[in-house]
Amino acid sequence: MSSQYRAVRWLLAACSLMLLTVPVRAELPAEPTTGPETVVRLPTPYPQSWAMVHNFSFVALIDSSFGLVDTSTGHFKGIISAGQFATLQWSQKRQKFYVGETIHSRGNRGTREDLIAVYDFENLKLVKDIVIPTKRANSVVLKASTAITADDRFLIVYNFDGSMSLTVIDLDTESVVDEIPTAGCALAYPDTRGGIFQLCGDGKLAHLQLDSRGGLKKRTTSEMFNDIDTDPLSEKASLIGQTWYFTTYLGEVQPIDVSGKTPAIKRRWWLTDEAERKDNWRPAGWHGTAGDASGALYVAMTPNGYNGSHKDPALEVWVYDPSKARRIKTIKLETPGLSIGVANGNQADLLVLNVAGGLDVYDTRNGKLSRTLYDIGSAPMQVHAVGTAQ
Amino acid sequence: MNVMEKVTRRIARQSSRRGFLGKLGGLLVGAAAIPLLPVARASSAGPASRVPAQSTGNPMDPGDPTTCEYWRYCGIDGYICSCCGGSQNQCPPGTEMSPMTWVGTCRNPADGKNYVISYNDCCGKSGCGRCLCNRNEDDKPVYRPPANNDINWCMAGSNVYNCSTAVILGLAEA
Repeated sequence: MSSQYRAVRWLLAACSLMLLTVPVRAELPAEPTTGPETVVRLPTPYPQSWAMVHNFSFVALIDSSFGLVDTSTGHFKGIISAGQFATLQWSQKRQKFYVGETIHSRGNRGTREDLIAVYDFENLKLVKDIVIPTKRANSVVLKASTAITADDRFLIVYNFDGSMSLTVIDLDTESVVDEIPTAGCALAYPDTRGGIFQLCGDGKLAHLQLDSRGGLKKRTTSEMFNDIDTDPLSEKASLIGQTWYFTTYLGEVQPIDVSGKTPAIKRRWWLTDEAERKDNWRPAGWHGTAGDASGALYVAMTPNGYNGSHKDPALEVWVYDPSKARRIKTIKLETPGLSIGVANGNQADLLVLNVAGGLDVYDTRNGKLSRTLYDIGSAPMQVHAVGTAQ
Repeated sequence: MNVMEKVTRRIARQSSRRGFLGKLGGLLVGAAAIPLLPVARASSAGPASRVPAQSTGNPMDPGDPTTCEYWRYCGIDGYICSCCGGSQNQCPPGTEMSPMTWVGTCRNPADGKNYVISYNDCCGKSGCGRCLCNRNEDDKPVYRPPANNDINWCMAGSNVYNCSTAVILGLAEA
């Protein structure tokens, strides 16, 4: 037997063996194109690592959106469409999103309509359009433009059409129940008892208690505590536990304790020491504050601050134990950041929307960049950790 | 430390703060065609700009009104109308100027005087998309509206924002 013949026999034997041992693959089954199986449903409640990225869509303001992402995997889960100058609130109890938006009957023209569009968590599907007075504040991305009261009962919408007021929406009936004039005072920060407070243009704070129907029960006003001309409180604050933490343009922290009947304006403290102030380290970013489950306060910071640097990108995020007014960590950003948030429960991943349009996820245990999510909108400017309570 | 961080840190250290974002914006836009963000200033300016230069024609009103560095824009936030068919003090055709606005104060380098600038938005057409510029000198938070540049001032007629002007109201010291 020639060596050539032996080789051919071996080859045939090997092929026969393969045919015997490898199962014949079945053809792929036909897949549905109609019915509920054609659309993905999301697991609810969401994992703690999920977040909503607010795409302000600066290049097409009338068509903004919110993109739902899993920050632990980088996977994109879906979007909610929105009109111009949108806002986002959500309720873990109700498993719903509440999107504030302004639209026009003919797209970029026609009759203005303001809405709170209600979406469910599981399907990101529109549940209801709540028509609200056409005066909701149209501001560049700002969390405090809306609020949900701590009892999860009322959604508050800040209005500005030259004058200031609040629209109150009952979340049980999903309908407008009242409009409260708030001359000179803006925005809405929930307390822990079903009311809200506002910041006023004269440097005071106004506290509003609501009655059971969402009407104004009692308004109180603080003493002047906010020197707006010299060093104002940024309106981009974070609630950690029962205290709101505001930062000033120059770098002080103003805690406001909302555990009591009326807000308590607590003692201020500096984010920086004297040497850092000499280098003009200051708070920065579009929304530069966040808190985590342990109670730590995160502040986006930039060096060489100046008149007008309060919205500059941040180069670092400084982490504080606010109970001791002491910095406990510094996270240097790989790419300068615009807005920050914290997700993933006790693991406390720091989320940073960077100037390149990506979402950076930092491991706060070691300060290292874990991953970056790309292609999350034309102008992502705000991140909401929707997998956790607000 | 990656390249982006090295560059931005070097810029931050070496430049005046006023120029930081301008250079950063130019870097981002020019190097990576990254989406323009309101805080990434000076998309209109620098070598990456494709917008032809303009002049007011008045030596007492110096600078290029299509650039973010133009002196009147010290508190502007939005698309520069000079790049959109309007000018530093006029809206593009077919839009309307919002009568409600916010005002800032900018120093004119030609005479060293401070002028009150009214940043009137132009309304009624969708966003121009050209020469995005965000500077925040003397910008105060939203709870003091007459001094805030985050508000869409298109609220008296059409609510659709097109671009922003910078109109001189007079001397600040007058």
